[in-house]
Amino acid sequence: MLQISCPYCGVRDEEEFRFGGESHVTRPALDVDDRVWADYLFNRINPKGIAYERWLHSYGCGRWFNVARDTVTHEILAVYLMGAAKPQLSEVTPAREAQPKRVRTSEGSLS
Amino acid sequence: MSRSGAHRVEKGGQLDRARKVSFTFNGRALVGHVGDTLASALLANGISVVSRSFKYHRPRGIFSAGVEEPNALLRVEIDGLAVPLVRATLQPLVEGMVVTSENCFPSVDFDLGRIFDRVHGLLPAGFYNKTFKWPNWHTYEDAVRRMAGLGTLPTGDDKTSFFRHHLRCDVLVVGAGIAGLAAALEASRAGAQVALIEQDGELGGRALHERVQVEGRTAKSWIDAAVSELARAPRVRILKRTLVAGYYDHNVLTALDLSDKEHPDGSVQRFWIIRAREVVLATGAIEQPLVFAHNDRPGIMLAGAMRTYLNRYGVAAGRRAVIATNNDDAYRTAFDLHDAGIEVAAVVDARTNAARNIEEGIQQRGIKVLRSSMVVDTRGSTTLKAVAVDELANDGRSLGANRVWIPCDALAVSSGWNPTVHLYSQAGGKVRYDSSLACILPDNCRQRVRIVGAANAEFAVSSAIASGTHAGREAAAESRPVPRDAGREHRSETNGIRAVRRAPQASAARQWVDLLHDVTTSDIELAVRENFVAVEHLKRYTTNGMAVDQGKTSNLNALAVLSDLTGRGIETLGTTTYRPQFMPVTFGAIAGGATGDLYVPPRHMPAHRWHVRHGAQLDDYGGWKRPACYLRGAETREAAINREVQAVRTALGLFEGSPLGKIEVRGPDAARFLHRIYMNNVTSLQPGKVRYGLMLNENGIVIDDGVFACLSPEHYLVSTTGANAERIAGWLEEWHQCEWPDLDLVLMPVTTQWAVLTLAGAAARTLLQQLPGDIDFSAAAFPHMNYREGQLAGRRARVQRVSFTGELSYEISVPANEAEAFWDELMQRGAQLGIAPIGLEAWLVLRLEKGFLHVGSDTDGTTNPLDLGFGAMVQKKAGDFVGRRSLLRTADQETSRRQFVGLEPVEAGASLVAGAHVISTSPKRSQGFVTSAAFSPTLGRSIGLGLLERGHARIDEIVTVFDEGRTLQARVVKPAFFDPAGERMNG
Amino acid sequence: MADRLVEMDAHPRRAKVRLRIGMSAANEAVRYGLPGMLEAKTSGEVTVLSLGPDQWLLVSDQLSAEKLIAMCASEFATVRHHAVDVSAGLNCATVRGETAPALLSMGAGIDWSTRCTRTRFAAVPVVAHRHHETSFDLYYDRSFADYLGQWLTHALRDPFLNR
Repeated sequence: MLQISCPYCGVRDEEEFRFGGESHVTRPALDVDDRVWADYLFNRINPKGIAYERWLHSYGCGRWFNVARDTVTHEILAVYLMGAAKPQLSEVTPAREAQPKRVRTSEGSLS
Repeated sequence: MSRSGAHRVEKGGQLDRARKVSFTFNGRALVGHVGDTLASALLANGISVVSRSFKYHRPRGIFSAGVEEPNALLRVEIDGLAVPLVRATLQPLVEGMVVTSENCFPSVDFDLGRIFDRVHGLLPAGFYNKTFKWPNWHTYEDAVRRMAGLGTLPTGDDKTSFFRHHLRCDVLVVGAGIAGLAAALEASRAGAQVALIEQDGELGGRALHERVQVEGRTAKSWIDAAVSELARAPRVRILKRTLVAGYYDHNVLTALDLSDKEHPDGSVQRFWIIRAREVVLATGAIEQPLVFAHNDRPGIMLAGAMRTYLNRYGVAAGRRAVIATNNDDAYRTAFDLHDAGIEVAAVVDARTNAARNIEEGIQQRGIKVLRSSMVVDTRGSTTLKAVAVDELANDGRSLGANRVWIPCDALAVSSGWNPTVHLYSQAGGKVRYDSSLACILPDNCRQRVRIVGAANAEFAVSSAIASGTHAGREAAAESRPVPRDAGREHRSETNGIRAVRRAPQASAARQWVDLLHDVTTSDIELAVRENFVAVEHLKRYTTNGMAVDQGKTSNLNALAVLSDLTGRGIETLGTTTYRPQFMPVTFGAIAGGATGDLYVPPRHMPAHRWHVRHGAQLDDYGGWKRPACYLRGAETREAAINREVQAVRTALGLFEGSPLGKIEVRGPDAARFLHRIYMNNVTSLQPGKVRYGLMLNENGIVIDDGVFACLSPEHYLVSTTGANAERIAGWLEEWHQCEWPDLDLVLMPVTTQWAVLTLAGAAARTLLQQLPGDIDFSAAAFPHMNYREGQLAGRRARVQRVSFTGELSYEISVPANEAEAFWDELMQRGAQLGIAPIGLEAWLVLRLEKGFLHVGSDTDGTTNPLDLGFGAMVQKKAGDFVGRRSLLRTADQETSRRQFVGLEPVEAGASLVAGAHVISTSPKRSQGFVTSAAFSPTLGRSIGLGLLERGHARIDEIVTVFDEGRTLQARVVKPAFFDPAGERMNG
Repeated sequence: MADRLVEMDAHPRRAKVRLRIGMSAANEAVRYGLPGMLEAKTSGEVTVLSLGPDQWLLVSDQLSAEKLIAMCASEFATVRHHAVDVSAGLNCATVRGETAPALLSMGAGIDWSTRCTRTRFAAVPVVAHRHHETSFDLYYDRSFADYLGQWLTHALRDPFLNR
């Protein structure tokens, strides 16, 4: 069971959250062709390595946020707010602290 | 009955000899003491054969004193609750327990299953893949299944109580042996919040059964002091008789707590879910046996276990013992037995010499040692009689010339201690084989875990303390970097081991590797001949290590045999993966009491108690307990449903629709937002008006329908179907938070704040006008599809004039805590108007008579709004909405798609059934199916709705409907069967 | 077992109002005196519990829901907000006593030492307010009352709580 650090509530069990798939997927305009639309609907990166994902703290604050997670080791490398830019992370990471790196943006406060 | 030389010694042990405990074993009344395990008590009573082996039904005795026990798995009944496959070595002796051997008939001492041993040549590894083929497997299946397995399931209810607990700590120490206690002490002194979990009922680990000195004191004295300090420390929690069985991601672990398994008020099993900042594993090591011919006889036991029975339980395993070993540690058994007055016939050592202090001990006691020798065979049927010892030739591998038979009734075996690395491996840790230590070692792990003591091959007491202390200190300090390597600073002693585990073959006699699964070296040889040489293949082909002991005393020896046969070093072979659970955990414990009524929370509606008191038949609908119908007198459900339908059509019905989702949307962008969510036009809706809307997903599929009301230009009320209330509230949040956060609005779900009572029927208006209040219900002032709010019968009320039934209908929302009183009032006032309470089944028939869509029944994961006939509405909608782009795809617009229609049987008495298929005969295929069907009391016949290919163009066509072998003819019609113009609901 | 360790509907007349403000204004929340994440604040007859960065639960045993909504209307007149009476749909259970933390740790594995938190307790969403050292108010949806009562009755039978 993963321990996920909600940017608003702190570390909680995976059971309190809902996984929301790949993040930073842009919704196309109405006039794109079928191929682009199908890509938006159905195709996802599915990396062996760092995945940038959306998570919802459904049993907590009810906010969506983003997580950078290593799909091989399940280590959570970064947690950042919904709408914030993808953080710069290297693939090969040295020994990390227990708490994931928290990225602050202008929206809201992190407590 | 078999008798062995095992007996209780007069003095010694840590039992309460004053208190006796009575129990039965296979019907015989026996006696033990408080403090005994079932195993020690059986040994004390001289019981030799306790079980029959899995495949060959060979007589077996007690082999170990711990979790690794492969033989003594017995059926134990306490207080009427019988549990199979209980390890006798872990079960405390309980007054009145009834113990039975299984997998034997008629008895464990005389078992007809011994025939399998006679024909063992026909039953090698994987035999079932090569036999039982003619005429086919199923001829034999029944018999084989009945013979397979080691125990029978108990019948009747499980009266055990299961509870789940969560535990959070800074430092979790698993194992309270010397190393674990040292770690816990140090972490506690450093101020950390510590949890110390020990699988035994006592703290102290192996030191409880060894005559050792710890930091200049007796082990007991050291342990007592440590435990006393820890028990007094306020931030230390100690759990005994609790076994950590699983290690997961992010330092989450699970443990099974059996400390109240024999609670006088009823058996309890407790499941702990632990979140630890740091973990220290002090899980010890498991001694491994030697492999030689007939090494499975009753009377053969692990050397350390023999000491445990003597030192802790005051039980001697026999009267004349032989010790067979390849290391120094087993000599302690010889010394302990000798010092307790039990005859030690010889120590058989595969090496040429032992450590100096061992040699001195031998000299002092005058014990005979046979060097460069191994036990190669044993004799005795139900109990050990003698062992054969051969010298090893100069090459150290083959046999020499001088065989001797040594009479004895107990044989202690040891091929060294193997660290218990299971949890470390489950955590993602890597392990490797070390040839100088001749055991598997933890190597490195990414999680925040340290491993100490015997579990890290730090076998000496001083090493264990040093290592444990260091780990405890490091773990308690915050923000230390993740320790990757398991660390070797404290490992130095090797116990002088020589890695000879298997005696050279003296004859064709079988040599056991896995006692529980009856796997022998010949099975491994067979596997190698058939090229199953990868360790994962070997395991699965021979089933070595796949039994309920998970190979705790067989995995390493199997690797050693494989290594010999293939000529590859053990370190190159790898190990199989360790997975939770380390020991079996009952499903009940994992569920933690969430069973039966507590499995899934059923939700109750606000007027629930009224329904219960008035004959409601409650069923589960979308997580809510709702009345399917209300029974009067002796009527059947069918009769009740028909009566209720007619009550609404002819008079007045009252229905609770409280689970309907209600979401308020407030802000200047409320309309704009909903306009993007709904397929329908939202921005044109005027205040006080209500509109029906469909929501689609991005793939254009209908996910919900409902009505939305405009309360004011910046305030909307969204209604969803009852089953989707939470899902749609989440849907709206997701779009607002993730895609359109700049839209100026707030969302507020209010589903459970309001109870919804729906009045439907021609008399609805009459009743409402009789209630005091400030809402004008006249037809002109309150048309269909409108919203009003105000005071009604002294309560705050929100009223929407919408109709699910096709009758004049008002959905009245009042605060949830007023529902019961309001319902009562409506029922009383409506009595002379013929009011009746209506259940969900009748409600669904009513809507079916009108051909009204029910999302989820009449739609599935492929249904888009065009299939439902909403094409024109989509055309008229301006602007993008969720799913719009998908509707522009060619495939979404094909008329050959399954389209929503009505169906009527041609024959008067015939019945449509939901799920039946509309079929074409050539080619024979399905063209669609019946999605809803019911008997309509209003029309006096069966009606249905369905999704049918090209349905919209096939009105009036006669089609064939197929249902479980029968066919009937039906006419395709427009969905509205009753009052198609909607005169009643619009009136 | 402690007397009245658990009371299922401890404050039936308590007024509860759910307040939500636009996320862009949430930064200002502290300026309005609203508590930050995982915090609770009592000011006079009103206690405000944090539900999220943009949501709060206002509770009062003296003031009515209408009064609380009116207070929000005047306080947040210039800010996008919505305040709704949720008194009817939320029950408040109290769990108090030495064994309270142990009992609560049977329902959820969170850190129960925070003053105010939202979590999943025995499969039910709850808002927990720790108003004293060993005294908690749990707000839960009334539709779960029966289930939660049964769950707590079952949990209280664990001999572990009496050790």
